[in-house]
Amino acid sequence: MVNQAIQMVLLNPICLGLILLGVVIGIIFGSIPGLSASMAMILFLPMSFGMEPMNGISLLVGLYLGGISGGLISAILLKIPGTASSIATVFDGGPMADKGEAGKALGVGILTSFVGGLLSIFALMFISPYLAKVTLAFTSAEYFSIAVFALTIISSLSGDSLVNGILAGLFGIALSLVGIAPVDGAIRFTFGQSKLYGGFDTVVILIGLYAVTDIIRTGFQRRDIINQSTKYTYTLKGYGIGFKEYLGHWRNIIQSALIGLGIGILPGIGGSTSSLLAYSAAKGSSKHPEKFGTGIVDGLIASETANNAVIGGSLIPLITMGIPGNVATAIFLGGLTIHGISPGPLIFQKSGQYVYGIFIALLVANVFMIVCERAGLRVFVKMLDIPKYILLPVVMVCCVVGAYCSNYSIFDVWCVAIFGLVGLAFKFLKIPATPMIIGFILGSMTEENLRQALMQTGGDWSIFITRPISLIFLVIAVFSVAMTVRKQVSKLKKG
Amino acid sequence: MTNKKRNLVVSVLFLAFGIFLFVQAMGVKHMMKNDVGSGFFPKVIAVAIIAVSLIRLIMALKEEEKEAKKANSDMLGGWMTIVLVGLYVLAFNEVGFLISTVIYLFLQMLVLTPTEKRSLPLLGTISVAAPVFIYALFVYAINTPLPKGLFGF
Repeated sequence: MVNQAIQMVLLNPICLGLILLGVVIGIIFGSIPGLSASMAMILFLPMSFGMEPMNGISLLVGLYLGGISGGLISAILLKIPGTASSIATVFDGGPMADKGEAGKALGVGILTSFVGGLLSIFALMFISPYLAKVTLAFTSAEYFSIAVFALTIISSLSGDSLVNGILAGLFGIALSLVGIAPVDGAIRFTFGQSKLYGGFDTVVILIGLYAVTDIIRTGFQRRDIINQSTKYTYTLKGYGIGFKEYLGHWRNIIQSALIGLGIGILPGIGGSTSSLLAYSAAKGSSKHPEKFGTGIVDGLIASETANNAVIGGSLIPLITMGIPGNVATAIFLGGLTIHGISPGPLIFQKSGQYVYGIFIALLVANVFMIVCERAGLRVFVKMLDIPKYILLPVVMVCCVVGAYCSNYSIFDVWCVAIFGLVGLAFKFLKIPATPMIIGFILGSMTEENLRQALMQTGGDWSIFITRPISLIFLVIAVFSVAMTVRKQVSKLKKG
Repeated sequence: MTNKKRNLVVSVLFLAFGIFLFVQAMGVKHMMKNDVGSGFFPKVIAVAIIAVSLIRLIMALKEEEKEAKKANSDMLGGWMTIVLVGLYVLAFNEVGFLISTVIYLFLQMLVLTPTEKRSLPLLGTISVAAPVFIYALFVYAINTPLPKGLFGF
């Protein structure tokens, strides 16, 4: 079977060409804010139906991998995350670019994306049946506790004012409540607008808060534009980081890859949460947590390792149990079933050659990704040489197009402008905007699992502390909040 | 605006928002017997917002008035950008992608570009070339329709 798989993928130039095409298009989709890996996969899905099974699947693999990794480019260069998975990449990638280290940031990001992807593909190849069983131990109680733990990252991202950060996070959660409620499907907070039934799209809020707010602020500071444009030269050898230096981050790399893998395996959480969790874990276990957010590679490594490790992780429940954990894998499932490959426990016996084919395609796509992005790095950093007064309006147009294409809804385009104004008001009032996005992303996950868990127990709250995994997450959550509050209070006393 | 005033504004705004959310959440119907209901979690969040904004209010009242540094901001540039973005998203569907984008790009770049660097031919070329490229890419290469608007393109 392995031989067959090698013949179908490695020795087949058409298949290799399709993986390359997929990776390149994926990177483009990932790097443009508003366009995403899943969107690229949806567009190419019908095309894959007409191909030889392995060719079609390989194309989707390339799109998935390229799309996730491409988000780092705009996250670092424009400080606008290309996809929700790369929000945490902005925290340190952005400041690195400001310091003139855009090349290094991109290099490290690309390298660590490759490593994160590779580790997760190995996990998928060798231990997926065992890992799949782990997911069965996770019920809604555990999901709720993970969400609560992930929400505590807000406290460490609030900058100077913890209180304002918490308010922003709560505001984000409040926004996630709009539309049809989970569990019972009640319609709430729509004020009679049918367009609000589906709630707000993450992409819309992301683009509004980052891109629109950015261009309006540039308008207010247009006199400073010329002074800021100091030219940097980007000479970059390799990936901007020595082999030894990179290996020095081994703990961070392994930890982030495991977080990404774990989040990938658990259905329904997604890449954005994984990179945020990895970032906060790296900050928590670092010897110099105060440097996070000032532009150090540690944060970048955590975020980019984790979000690429989600790829292999998310394919584990898909292949072994037929459960798609996110939009991209759901599309992938469609691509498999149309060719008569049905994922599940019997897949290795029934269509073993395709499973090995997928493994090989993933490895090839990962190599193509690092080669293409490293080769394109020169072109990417050139983007920074374009004057801001030209670059920002063009980016703005791309963002609006992205927002429109996510649902083909003009309402989303209006929301982008409205959230841009919200972001502006937040800036003016010195409220950090990132906690709002985190609250929004995690809000519905928190509520849904809280309610499901309580339904199972008939309203008994003790389930969250009697189940061990859930208890562990809640304890870490309380601990990390206590630490931040202590720090904040001692700062207030000093100041 | 001083820091104190700013924090007062924040606490009052969020307090009002929290109360609004709570009142709205009270109107959400309870549908399933075994469930806490779709109004429960919003109420929790509303109470949390009210509580935190009260903390903010108390902290703000204790603060001393300190005149913050005046930011050197350009009101005209900022407000024109807001108006342009607003008009652009309103015109996006009605006028169509191509025309609205060409006009928006040109005016937006005109607003942001410092006078001494203003080169009308350059700005004009970019504001036509970029939308045409994006339009061709989406409509012809990846088969994704963009709003056609008034004139059918």
